[in-house]
Amino acid sequence: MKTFMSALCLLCSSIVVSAQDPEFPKNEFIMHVRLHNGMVTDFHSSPDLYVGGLQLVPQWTVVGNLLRVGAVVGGFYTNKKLQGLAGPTVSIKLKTFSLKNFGSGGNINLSLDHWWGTDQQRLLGGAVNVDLLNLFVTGISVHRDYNLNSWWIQGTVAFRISKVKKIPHP
Amino acid sequence: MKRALVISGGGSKGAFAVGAIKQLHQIYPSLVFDIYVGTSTGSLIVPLAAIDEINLLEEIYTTQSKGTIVKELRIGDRLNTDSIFDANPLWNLVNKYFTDDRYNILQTSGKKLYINTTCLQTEALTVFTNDTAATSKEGYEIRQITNSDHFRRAIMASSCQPVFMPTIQVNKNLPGNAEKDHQYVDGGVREYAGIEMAIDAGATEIFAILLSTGVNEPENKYYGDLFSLMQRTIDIFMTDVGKNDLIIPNQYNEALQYIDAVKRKMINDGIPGNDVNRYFTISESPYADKVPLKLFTIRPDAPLGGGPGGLNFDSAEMKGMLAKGIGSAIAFSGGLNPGDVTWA
Repeated sequence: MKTFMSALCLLCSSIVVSAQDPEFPKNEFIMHVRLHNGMVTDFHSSPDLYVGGLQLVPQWTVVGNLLRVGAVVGGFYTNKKLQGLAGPTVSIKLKTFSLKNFGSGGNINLSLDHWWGTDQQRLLGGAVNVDLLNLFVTGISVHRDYNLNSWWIQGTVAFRISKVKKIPHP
Repeated sequence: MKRALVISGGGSKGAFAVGAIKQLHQIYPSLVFDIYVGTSTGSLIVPLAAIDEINLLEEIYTTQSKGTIVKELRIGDRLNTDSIFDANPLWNLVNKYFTDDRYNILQTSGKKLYINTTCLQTEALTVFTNDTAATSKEGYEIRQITNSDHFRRAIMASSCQPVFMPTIQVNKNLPGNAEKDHQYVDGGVREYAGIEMAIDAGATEIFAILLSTGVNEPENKYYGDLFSLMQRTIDIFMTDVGKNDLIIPNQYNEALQYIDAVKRKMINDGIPGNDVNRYFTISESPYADKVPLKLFTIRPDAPLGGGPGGLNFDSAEMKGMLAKGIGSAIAFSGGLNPGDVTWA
């Protein structure tokens, strides 16, 4: 945990926050629905198991232009069973796709999660995500199930389902 | 004799106008104006100039950055909205500086203020004014400013470049107003400098501070992105509108000078003055009771910068523009004929 926090602090301090960065606006609430699928593997025995599911990811931006915290709740199918998972998540913005005077077109962010599964899974990991137009997110995730000694390697696609906060007209 | 101050549009280039006004006040402390006409950034300057808040104007026009005027947003969030930028930072500045107290001082000063906007619904150049005697003319519609909120909304609308900044419902808070839902934007879409309004308000001496050079400003660069293309297009369009704004008053002036010269020649040839006036007095003459204008123009010799459309707000660059305005006012004053100076 200590190593994780140190790495997080180092990462945060290395990110230069632009004064006119439109990504991760402060105090924003955002909710994504995420589809994921991939494999569960221990890299030794075969065959690997398929895993796929649907998640709901509500998040709040607690540090403007930098950090969102939230939760993940979802259902997934693996090993011929439907199961559930839940846990906290944080997203750290790594890069803004600046469109200069047009604002921004999206961002690259890193999400870090800890999930508890309904079948004794304990997953720690994260994903690198590309968020385009504040609408569509795609990413690759890797989680370690440290209880059952396996790795979950997946691809994800997500869509924002929360409404964009309307800017009041003068 | 009425004297008018007219300031054109130009975004951050308004700093040039502030420098020029500051210097004019310094050289001619007794120079006062009766009529103030502003378009876009000019509409932000003239109300404060009318109540002699020159130091405040200097502060405002040398301390801004882009973030204090507009906020950049995620383009994906703007696809179904009316502007690329959020202009609430500018609206906050308008509310901060154009207070009820300042509005009341302006109203009691007797100074006539004209704020040029463009109405999207009617396509009309719509002029918001505190001049109760003003009436709509062929080229523009007149609307009376009714309170301080209405005044601020008119200024905001005049300052908002369409597409980049939002449209403003100037009459939104006027109960029962038939144009409550009308959207207004930058007056510069129709009129770069409101010299016409100054003439119609009875000004015979007009000081026009224009924020472009008046000649084409070639730029040796390739316009490879949408924003710079749009801004360059607006610049070219504004330059053309600006030229037209000066052509009409100049032609009007030439016509009046011609009539005046013909009258003098007829009198010199022995025709009685009363007869001469009778010949030149016909009903609905656009020149009846008008005298030739003195139109003094102060404008930069070279492009001021500030980016296309003047949408780059850089305080250091704006300080430079202010200094250029001071320099141009000094040069203007030095070039005046002694007979021109009626205000010293």
